[in-house]
Amino acid sequence: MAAAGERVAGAAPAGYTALAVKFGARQRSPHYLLVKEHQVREGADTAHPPRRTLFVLNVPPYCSPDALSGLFARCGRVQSVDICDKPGTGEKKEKLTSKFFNRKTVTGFQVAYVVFRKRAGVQAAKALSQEGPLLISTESHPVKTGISKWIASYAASVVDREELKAEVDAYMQDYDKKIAEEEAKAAKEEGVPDEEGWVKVTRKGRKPGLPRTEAANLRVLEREKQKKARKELLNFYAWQHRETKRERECPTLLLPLPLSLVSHTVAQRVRPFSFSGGYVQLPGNSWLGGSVNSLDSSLGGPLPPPVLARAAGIFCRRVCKS
Amino acid sequence: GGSAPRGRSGSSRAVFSSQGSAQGRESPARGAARGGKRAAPAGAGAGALQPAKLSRAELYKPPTSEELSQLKETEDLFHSSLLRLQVSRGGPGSRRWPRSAPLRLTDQAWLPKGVKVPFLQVPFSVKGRFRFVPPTELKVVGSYLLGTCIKPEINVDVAVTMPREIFQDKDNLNQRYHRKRALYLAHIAQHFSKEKLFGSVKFAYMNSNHLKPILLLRPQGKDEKMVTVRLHACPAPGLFKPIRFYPSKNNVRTAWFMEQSTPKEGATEPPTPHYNNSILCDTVLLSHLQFLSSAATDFPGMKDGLALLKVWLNQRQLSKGLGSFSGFLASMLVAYLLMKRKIVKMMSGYQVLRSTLQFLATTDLSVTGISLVKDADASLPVLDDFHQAFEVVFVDPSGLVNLCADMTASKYHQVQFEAKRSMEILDDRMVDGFQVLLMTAKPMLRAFDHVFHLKHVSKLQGACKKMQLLNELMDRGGNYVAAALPFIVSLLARGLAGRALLVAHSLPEIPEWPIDAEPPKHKDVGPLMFGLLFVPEFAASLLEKGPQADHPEALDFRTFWGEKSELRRFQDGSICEAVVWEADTVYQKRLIPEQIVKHLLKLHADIPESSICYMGALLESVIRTGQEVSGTGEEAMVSVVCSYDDLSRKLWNLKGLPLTVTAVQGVHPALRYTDVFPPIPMKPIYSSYNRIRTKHLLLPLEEKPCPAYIAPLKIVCHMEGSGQWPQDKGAIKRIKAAFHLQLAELLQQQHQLVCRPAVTHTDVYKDGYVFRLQVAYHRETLILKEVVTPEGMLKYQDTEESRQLELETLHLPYLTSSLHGLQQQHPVFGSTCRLAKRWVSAQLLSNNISEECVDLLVAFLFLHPAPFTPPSSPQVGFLRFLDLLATFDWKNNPLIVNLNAGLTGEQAIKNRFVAARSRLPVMFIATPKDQWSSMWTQEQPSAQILQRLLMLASESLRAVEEQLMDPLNSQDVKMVFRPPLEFYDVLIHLNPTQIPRHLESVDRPLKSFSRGVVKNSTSVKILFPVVDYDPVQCYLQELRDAFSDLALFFYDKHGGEVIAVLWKPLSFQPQPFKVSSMKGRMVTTLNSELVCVPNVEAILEDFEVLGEGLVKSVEARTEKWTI
Repeated sequence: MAAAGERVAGAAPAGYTALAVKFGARQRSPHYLLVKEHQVREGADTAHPPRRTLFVLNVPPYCSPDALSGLFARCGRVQSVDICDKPGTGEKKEKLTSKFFNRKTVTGFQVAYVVFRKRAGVQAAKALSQEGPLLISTESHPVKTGISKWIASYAASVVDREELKAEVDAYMQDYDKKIAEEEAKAAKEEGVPDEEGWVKVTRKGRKPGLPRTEAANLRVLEREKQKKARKELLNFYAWQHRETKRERECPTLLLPLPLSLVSHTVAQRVRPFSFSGGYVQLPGNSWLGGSVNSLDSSLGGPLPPPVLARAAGIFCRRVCKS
Repeated sequence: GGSAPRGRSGSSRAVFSSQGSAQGRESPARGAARGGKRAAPAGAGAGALQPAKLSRAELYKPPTSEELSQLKETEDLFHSSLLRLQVSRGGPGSRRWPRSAPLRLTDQAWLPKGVKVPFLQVPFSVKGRFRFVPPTELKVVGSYLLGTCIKPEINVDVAVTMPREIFQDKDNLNQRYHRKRALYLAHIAQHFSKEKLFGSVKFAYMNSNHLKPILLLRPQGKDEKMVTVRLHACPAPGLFKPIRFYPSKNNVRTAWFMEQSTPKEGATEPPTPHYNNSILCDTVLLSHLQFLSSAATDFPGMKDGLALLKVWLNQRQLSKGLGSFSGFLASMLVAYLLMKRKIVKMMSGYQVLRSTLQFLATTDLSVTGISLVKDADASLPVLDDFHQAFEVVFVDPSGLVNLCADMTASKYHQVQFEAKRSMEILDDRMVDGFQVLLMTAKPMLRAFDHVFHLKHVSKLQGACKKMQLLNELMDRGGNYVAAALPFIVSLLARGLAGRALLVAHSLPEIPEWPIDAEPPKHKDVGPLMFGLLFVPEFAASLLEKGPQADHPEALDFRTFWGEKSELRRFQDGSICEAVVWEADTVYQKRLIPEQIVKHLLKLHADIPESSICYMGALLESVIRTGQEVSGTGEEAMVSVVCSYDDLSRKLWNLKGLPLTVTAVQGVHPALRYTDVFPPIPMKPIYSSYNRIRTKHLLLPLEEKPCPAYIAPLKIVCHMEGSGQWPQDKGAIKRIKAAFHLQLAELLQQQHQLVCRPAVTHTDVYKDGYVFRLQVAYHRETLILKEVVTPEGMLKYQDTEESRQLELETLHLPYLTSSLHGLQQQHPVFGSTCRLAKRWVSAQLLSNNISEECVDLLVAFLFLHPAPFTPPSSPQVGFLRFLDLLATFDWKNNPLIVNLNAGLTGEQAIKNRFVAARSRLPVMFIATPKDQWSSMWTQEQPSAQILQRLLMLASESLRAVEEQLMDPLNSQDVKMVFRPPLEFYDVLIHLNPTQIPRHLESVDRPLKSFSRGVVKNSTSVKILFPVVDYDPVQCYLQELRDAFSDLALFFYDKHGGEVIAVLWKPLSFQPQPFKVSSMKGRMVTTLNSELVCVPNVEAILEDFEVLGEGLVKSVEARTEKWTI
């Protein structure tokens, strides 16, 4: 665990100012808010206008937007306070439309954007670093934490049936209307070509189109592949034709095997084949198509070298003859 | 096998290092080589006998080829240079020990102070004279020569033949032979104790049979632990007539044993088979060796097979102590099977093991004994004679000795049971037989459902008196433990017949002792342990039904059960003798065997209850519920399930819903019987709450103690699919909310249930419980997964939300119903699970490992118990849970839990697991419905937490087993449920009034608070109680939200009074400034550089601020770190 030997309270990196802030008068050690003027490149952030907005880092978890605006009220009138998880999300933030759904609460240490009415507010806020630690919970504006907060949030979690019902009904009406409109629009467009002459095909029309899903796509691809395989020409080249023909005429090969190989133990392994004297009949295509090694696997064990050599000899001869 | 040669060379080194003591250290090879020189006196000449002073360089030079060949010779001719030691030192050739003058046996003044007679001479006076004459012969016998010694104990047995001269007529009587034998050994010990050759010279009882002391010699140096030479004194061949020792003969006179001057007139002397057997054993040492070595020739598999068998016996604790199934017995059994051609010499070690186990599993030697006699001699005693005298019969080749003389029938049945179980395991393709049979130890504590200790074996003296076992006492030479044990065990077996599969006992074991100490007494065997293995169906039955009152057996039944037996009329009209045990709860019923054991031992053996330490349910106190002490919550669980069944029926039949309910599935642990503290029906007392009449509900009050925690019992309610459902996630959520509202309304209207709807659920108050209904729509997960690619293609992708929903509505209900089924098969599954979870929680780790994961771990113990049987008591289940955690190789193996036997391709899982190991969670649990993802361990536990869990498990197991094995001290088994706190950096002490589950803590608090509820399950019209409100959990949530990247928070959710905080060491390193990582830190200068460090002082104050009203104090243990 590292320990800071000589500590400078309220040090701040370039561009930032450190403001000491404590929960209440009772606490002894402050947290340090890092504040700076909010800067945006292209002036895109309309919710947080530059120069009037103070960007605040390291806001403690018990510091609500209300408490924060109370904190900076002495620097000038505060227009709005936005608290979020991490910097830069201010613009995309949607307005919460529902009291019950999609409620996300920000927890832990946060960042905040404090928008002042006037530019002077930002400068005044930076100057606060000269004063003593700011207090979040004061007698006039106490901040609830611990048991009282949890009881309050338990009470808040109880929903009012009528209100919830009304909201759901309203939403569903909108939704139904939206769906109905979409359907009507789709029905109108059904079979009607657009400016470029394209006709939109849906699942509903006389000729339903394929659903555009990944699974359907994969199915189609698979079918295509099969079709392709079926269509492929088998005996197109002369050598292909010749080989098929030979296969048809001479289906098996007689392979001399020394009797010692057909001993008690090996005989068990090669049982699938029929015996005729010292010869083992092997299905011809099983090894002609592959290498000599495939003999190996069909016998189930390694072959003694002479057999292998002889088998290879036959193979060479046949190939030469043709 | 492999260790034998090492032992050999090692010991030979010891021989030499002592002869030339100035030489110091010698390499083993060289020592052995020079041993070889000595071993071949003709070749090496006299010079080699005197160790020459060797220079250091010479000492360490590699052996020459000549030396090597001599080494080989030594091996071949003498088997070892150890033998040479015997021959040269005490053998007939040297005759170093002087003969002593004949003295009376009782006259032992000649013994020097440093040596005590290794024999309990009770009664002391005995006729006869003893003199020491050097032994006529020394021979190595036993497993060492056969090469079947196994680690960790390498014993070299040496038979020392006492010459004929020291014996007299009638030495077979009244322990005269035994005492001479003991004196003889004492004499040898006296000589050896002067030798510097040996590291230690000690006495021991052979197989803890106190009639048979032996002398143990261990070489000096670091081999002392490795090899032991055991000297057995045996009589010169042909000394005794065998006929004197037939099982029906008497060799101990009652008058002598009772120290009466004159024998009673006309009384017949009882047979003394065990006494006779102990003498006979000594006469056949050499012939047994010959017999075994002829069996072992050309039979390489025998050596391996015996090694396996010995390991098998060792792992089951069967091979040591009085009446053990020793390795020697195993060798004889293999030889028997060879003789009967059940084993042939072609067989491999594995086949030998298998055939032997097969034989053991199918043959009951306590009913049909076996004999190794080849040609039956008409004069020899027949098997029936042996059966009359001994419980287990296995006659040796001479036809005189019963090899299983000391074994109790119960012990043999245990061997038989183990063999049967092992055969099942070997035939089971799903189990790795080798690992399970030979690598897993089966200590009694983990193998038996209940164990109990007989604290003071001296109480067995009284038992012998009560059971009139004088003859047995005489036979056993006064050993009351050995005399009473078979009777005690058969008494218990009869009393527990039907309830117990097996009643087993530990083998009395007496440790070795130094030669200058008095030999251990009978009571020095320490506490005796008994183990009971139950038949789960009948173990807890309340009734012991006897014969009809007018039958002759009724009297027998009455005398057996004593005054507990009474006449009862049964439903079929019969009037029978019966015993009814008192037990109200499942917990008490599980302890009925305890009542039986204590009652029977008191009644028949005069053993008081205080001497019995019954370890059946010591651990269960931590899952006891409420204030009453009689139950452990099984009943509460059943009533929850009943109430749930009723509710689900009502939901099915609810009228007026636009869509019908297709399925109702419980997901709360209480609905699979594994909730640590099952909910209890509650009714609120209004005065402790803030009443909101307009909303029909209650709110907690700040100034009152926190209300008792009421857990909502989650139920998933599947609605039928229909075109009416919207296909948009937002809209589905709204429709579900509408369903929740409607369910609440309909339940209130049609069944008068008080409900409280919310967006994601509806809470229903019923029978004093609160159920939380959640509506589910089966397509919702699919809709949550939908993603439209930029090309307009619809893709399905797992998202966090869909995964969560799938877990809750699909997998958790399935798991719950599977485990519910498991509980029906194994009634103690639930309680075992609860103990396991209580332990995890007590070790502050419940937030770091999912409840379902623990459930599955425990399910594994029941579904795959090999080599054990499925647990029938929560305690043994818990011990095995700890063992599983501590010993399972999580890194290299998946834990496969075959729920509902739905898995066939286990190998496929293993292969895939190995291939993808690095990407899988550290703890991988596969079930039939979840073969590849291990969903319950996906995020938790982390590698560090698992490591800690394993460490805690092995420590806890050790501690709890130690306590359970030690009946003499008071058992505080709760010790393993108290977490070690010294390891944490900050402790946040909480205010007990605000801990709603304070009563669940391991050590029940002395002071309890009124928590605003009374037990009541009948009230219907009430204001809705406070549900799922636990300030500590709210607090923990806030702490984790705010400080999760700086610290870890640990808490026992069952009433813990302290939150333990551990700083994350990495986040305490000073870091350069970054906008995204400024949470709770401050900027400071270190070596004139700006860095961020955690603002610890402020954070510590934040702990107090956030927990206002809950936190009592924050204890920063700054000795581990500095601010």
